[in-house]
Amino acid sequence: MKEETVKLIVILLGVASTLGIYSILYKENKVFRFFEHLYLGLAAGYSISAAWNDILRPQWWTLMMIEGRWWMLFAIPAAMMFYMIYSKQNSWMSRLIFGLFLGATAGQTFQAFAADYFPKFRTAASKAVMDLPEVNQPGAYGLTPFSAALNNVLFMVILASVMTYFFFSFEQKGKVIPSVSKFGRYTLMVAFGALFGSTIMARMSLLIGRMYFLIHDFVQVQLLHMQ
Amino acid sequence: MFQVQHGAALYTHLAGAAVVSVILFFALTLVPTKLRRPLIMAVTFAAGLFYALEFFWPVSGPESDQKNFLTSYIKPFSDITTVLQSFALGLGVYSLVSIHLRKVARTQSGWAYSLVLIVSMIVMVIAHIGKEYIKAPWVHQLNEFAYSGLMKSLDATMFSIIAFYIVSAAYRAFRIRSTEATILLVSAGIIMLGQVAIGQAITNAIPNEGLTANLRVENMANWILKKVNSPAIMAIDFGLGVGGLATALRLWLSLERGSYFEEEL
Amino acid sequence: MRIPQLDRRVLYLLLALVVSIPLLVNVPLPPPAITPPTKSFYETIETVSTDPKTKDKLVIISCNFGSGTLAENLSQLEATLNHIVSKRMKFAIFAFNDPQGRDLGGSTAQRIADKAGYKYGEDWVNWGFRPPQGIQSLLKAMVNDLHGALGTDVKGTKLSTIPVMANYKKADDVGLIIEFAAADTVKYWVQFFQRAGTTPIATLFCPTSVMANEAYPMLETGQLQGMLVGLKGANEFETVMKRPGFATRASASLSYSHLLIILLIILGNVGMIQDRKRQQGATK
Repeated sequence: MKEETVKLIVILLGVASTLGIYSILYKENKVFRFFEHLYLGLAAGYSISAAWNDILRPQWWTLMMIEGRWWMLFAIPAAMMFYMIYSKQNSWMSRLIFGLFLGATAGQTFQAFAADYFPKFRTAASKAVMDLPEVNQPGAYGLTPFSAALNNVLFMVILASVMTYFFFSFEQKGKVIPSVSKFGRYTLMVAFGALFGSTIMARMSLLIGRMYFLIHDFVQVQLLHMQ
Repeated sequence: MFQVQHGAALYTHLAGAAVVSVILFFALTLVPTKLRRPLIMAVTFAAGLFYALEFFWPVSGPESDQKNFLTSYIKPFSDITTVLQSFALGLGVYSLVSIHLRKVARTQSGWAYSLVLIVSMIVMVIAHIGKEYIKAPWVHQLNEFAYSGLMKSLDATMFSIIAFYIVSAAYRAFRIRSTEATILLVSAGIIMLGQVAIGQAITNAIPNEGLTANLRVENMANWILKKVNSPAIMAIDFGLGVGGLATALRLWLSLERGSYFEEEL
Repeated sequence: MRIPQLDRRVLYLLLALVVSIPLLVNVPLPPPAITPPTKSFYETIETVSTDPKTKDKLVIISCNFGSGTLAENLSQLEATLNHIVSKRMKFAIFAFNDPQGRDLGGSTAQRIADKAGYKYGEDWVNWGFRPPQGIQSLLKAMVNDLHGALGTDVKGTKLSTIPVMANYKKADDVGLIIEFAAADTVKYWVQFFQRAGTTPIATLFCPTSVMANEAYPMLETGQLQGMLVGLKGANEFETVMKRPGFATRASASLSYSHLLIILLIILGNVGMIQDRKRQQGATK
């Protein structure tokens, strides 16, 4: 098959699958169900092949069979323990191997916490005091040292109030904590609003990507031979 | 003992390792019931301890390459757990295939779709693994059709379809019913306008210098993102981090309770 | 005037039209404002590529995205790579979250490198994909031994035998990290690589718009030096570079689709207020 023909078929398959999936927008139909299952099958197949091509072959098979590290064979009985989940008598063996992963993940969480959160805590806590001359940075329109300091204090106040909102999620007594917590809730709403705005942009971008494919790659380039 | 082997010696060692594997596997099945839970707890604890010790144990060596006696084992341990995790993928595949094969075998409603799923999975495996071994053009073409033609488009389209649902939700569900909803809406509005050229054009007449620059919509959006969104997200992140740490500790010390952790072994 | 209850399919059609028309015909639009994260993104590359201490160091282009977010991440990658090759900086493609990133990043790099006269192995290299499960330990090992930790490139050639890698052996030889991602994978670079050498490495982030909000705190704390926020970030960068690409073409569609959403939210709320008033009138 010529390279151009392959390219054309690839585009046609892309067009068919894009329109097939979008057909659900009109109503539930068989074409959508077909492409939905096709997608699930292809994605599952891709995961299997990626597991072999990118992990098992280079990190296990090649090491064992080409480089001669015969002890890598012990990975097979260890992996078999996962599958004992289907055995009534010995399903506990699957927990042994899952336990290994739970323990390792917990250990990695300690390391990641120390590497990520300690510096963040330090930077955030010192921000109001240390980070005053933000005035010359890009985007600091009209910032004076006073407003920069005010912004940094606001940063700390919001941080503290949102944490108060989360950590005092049980019954709140007195006046201070409920008020701080309420302010925390309002600032969270501002953040969620920002997140909503960003989500819209993300999804619109992806839709534009598909429309561009249909209009430019298929209609303009393939059908009308425009560039 | 663990020395690299080649040729016939490799196969002899592999055979030996296979025999030892079978014996060890069989031996595990003989572990008495009352010892099973302590054994699982010990393995879980040891795996976590490895990382904890590696982190807390004092390090030595030149400044740019400080390590302790466990540091050099971190990567091999991580490599082998990665390999084991890949083997576990079979659990998911087995579950998926068995459900759909059963549907096909019993010609239940929608069996044809199940057949599509199984066939497409096999085709992708043949094409994607095959391209690494077989040089024949048809394998590469098959991979092009399955991956570039179908999967790439299906993946991108599935992700993009949410844009349509957002439009519907914006018209039908995004209502100002409370103070919180109003704040959320105003914030979302400023961000949306501040992020796109046409929204920014609304305040283009305001000079982008001096204090008045703060009235430009893109600067307002940037201020919200940097000074209000950032600390709020950071606080959520701290909460998640502390929660994650607590959960990790419970798992490591086998203190976690619930159906999975309390079942009879 | 009463706000009608529109069928959802009418809304879908409206969106499809609003997005498609600007792709078919030229719709006039003012240029986008260049936001601070994009400005600092551009300035960081400029600084790294001109500073005598960093200009000859390696740039790591980390491609952790798949085909699902191509519209955002690919346009960012194309714009950035064009800038990197225009500065004649050597770069390495790398992926550790999705194997698709290796192929999508690799093919884009190949196309741009060929145009710029870059030679594979001499001016750039593709380190390939490494599984995410072991990324923490891999990055830690890479700090002092890039060749040993990574082993081979995407073609299976040992890194120690690839000419471009001859001078790049550890974290101190890396001048810039640029992460293109559909998730928060930049944290691994920040946690385990960025500050592990003798001097901190400048780190830039190109997330999808939805992931950007989570990354703003890292800009605030100085862990990131710049960011391109989704498709609009790519559009701003193309504008700064005066090299229009897909993001510039998509700018009008992005603008009008946002206007449509705002309009629909307003209409929906006006409809709700009208209904409420009508109900109050009926009960009175």
